[in-house]
Amino acid sequence: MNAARLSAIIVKEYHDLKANVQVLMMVILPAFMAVLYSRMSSGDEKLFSFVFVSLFSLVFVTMYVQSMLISEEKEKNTLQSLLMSPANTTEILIGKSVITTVITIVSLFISWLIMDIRISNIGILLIVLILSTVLFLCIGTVVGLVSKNLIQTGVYIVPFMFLFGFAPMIQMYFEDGIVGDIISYSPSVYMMDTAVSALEGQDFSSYQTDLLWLTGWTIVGVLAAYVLLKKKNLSN
Amino acid sequence: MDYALQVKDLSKVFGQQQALQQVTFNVGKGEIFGFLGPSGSGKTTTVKILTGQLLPTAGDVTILGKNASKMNGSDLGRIGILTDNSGLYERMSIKDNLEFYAKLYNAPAGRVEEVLQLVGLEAEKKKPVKKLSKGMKQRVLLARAVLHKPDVLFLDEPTSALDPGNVLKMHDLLRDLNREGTTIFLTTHNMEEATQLCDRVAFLHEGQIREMDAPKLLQRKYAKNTIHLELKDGSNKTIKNNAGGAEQLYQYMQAEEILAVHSDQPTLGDIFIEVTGRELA
Repeated sequence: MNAARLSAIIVKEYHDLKANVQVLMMVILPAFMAVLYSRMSSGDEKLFSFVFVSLFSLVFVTMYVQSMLISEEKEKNTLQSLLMSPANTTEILIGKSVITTVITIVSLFISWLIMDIRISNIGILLIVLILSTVLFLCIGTVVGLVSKNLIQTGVYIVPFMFLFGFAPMIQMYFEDGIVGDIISYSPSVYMMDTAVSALEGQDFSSYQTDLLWLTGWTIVGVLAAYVLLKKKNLSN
Repeated sequence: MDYALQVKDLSKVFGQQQALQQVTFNVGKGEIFGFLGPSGSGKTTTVKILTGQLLPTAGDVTILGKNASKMNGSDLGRIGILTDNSGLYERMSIKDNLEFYAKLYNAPAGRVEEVLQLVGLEAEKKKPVKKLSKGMKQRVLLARAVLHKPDVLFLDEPTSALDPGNVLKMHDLLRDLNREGTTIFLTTHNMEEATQLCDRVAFLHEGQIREMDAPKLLQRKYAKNTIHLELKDGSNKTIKNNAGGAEQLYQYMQAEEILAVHSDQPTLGDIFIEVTGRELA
């Protein structure tokens, strides 16, 4: 990996994003949710609400923004130019994810400040958030790459936002049925279960399987995004 | 001879459609090679295969001694590409766009200012790309393609959106780059451009190369050996370029009837029609 090329891509992303009002507006959404949930919940409920707002950030900011950024590059043919440059797939993938990650961190931090949560087990929580951020970045990248243009991305991303954003709630309502069984394999359910358990101070053994599943999902996501981006000809 | 590009028996099939059929040609290092053909003849497919963006169905393609589909980052750093799927960052300025690619290609310091001057966009460098005309965007794309002084430059219709003044500027830029050693692979509809710039041209029609040589040699090969006279009475006469024709010409000259004399050297467009039976539109 070449540091000069990687930093060039990151600086370019910054220059491009600071004029992208549509994307910047998305950062406000989780903060709005945090205000809402901080008033609606109290006590232990607040922990669950905080994790839910974090999941909302990951789905609506990380995954959505990344899918839009990738899709725009594809639609304007700049991604093809990047792929035909000396920059390699890893540099492009990381370079294009850094700014979205920074936006995610800012939005998570603002949500945390608003909800005023006392965080225990911060190490585990950070691991969960890092794994989830990487996973949702990769899902956003994949959706952006498989769509032909921004409009199509806007359509394709909706089921993913619904499925991942609301999976923990769907599972609660359909706990005993087949729907609940299927949805329990969703990465967002693993993310919620691990994060809530960690915040509640439970023993590591009680959530290690969930953490393992989340790690597995993240590896699959990274591989999918890498392989798709490696396919050089995106126009056909 | 040292070759920058070697293409042997290249074929490409999309579903039921044969886009390229046993295309074979070589481009020497430092050569300007024109690839001429109407829309749908397979020019863009060829460029995509040559630059590793598409895999061939059959055949061998070598660029700078390496299999085109196996080029790595440093190989890509030696080529420049301007095709119909080259894009720019619309919200960023011309200068920011070029600075970004200069860093990716490790172009020397000051090169951005140099190319901005060469394409005549120095005064506009702070303008966001979205505010540029189609012709200006094309000039930025060309500037980007030559930023790193590539060993091989692929240009797909590089001057199609430019006005005549800028076309001449771009031709000068390409000639200068070629003098410094860059091999240029050019696809164009513009026969005049091909005649002026190219050392050799190939005519591509329905996925096959129908003719290939230096423009001057092709013009000689397809010349009809006749001379056309425009007479003062408004009529036109065609005479043979031989002793009998010389006699006729002498008579017209003696009678002071000639308004203009034209040789019968065909243009590349004329030759293309003769070879393929259709125009280069």
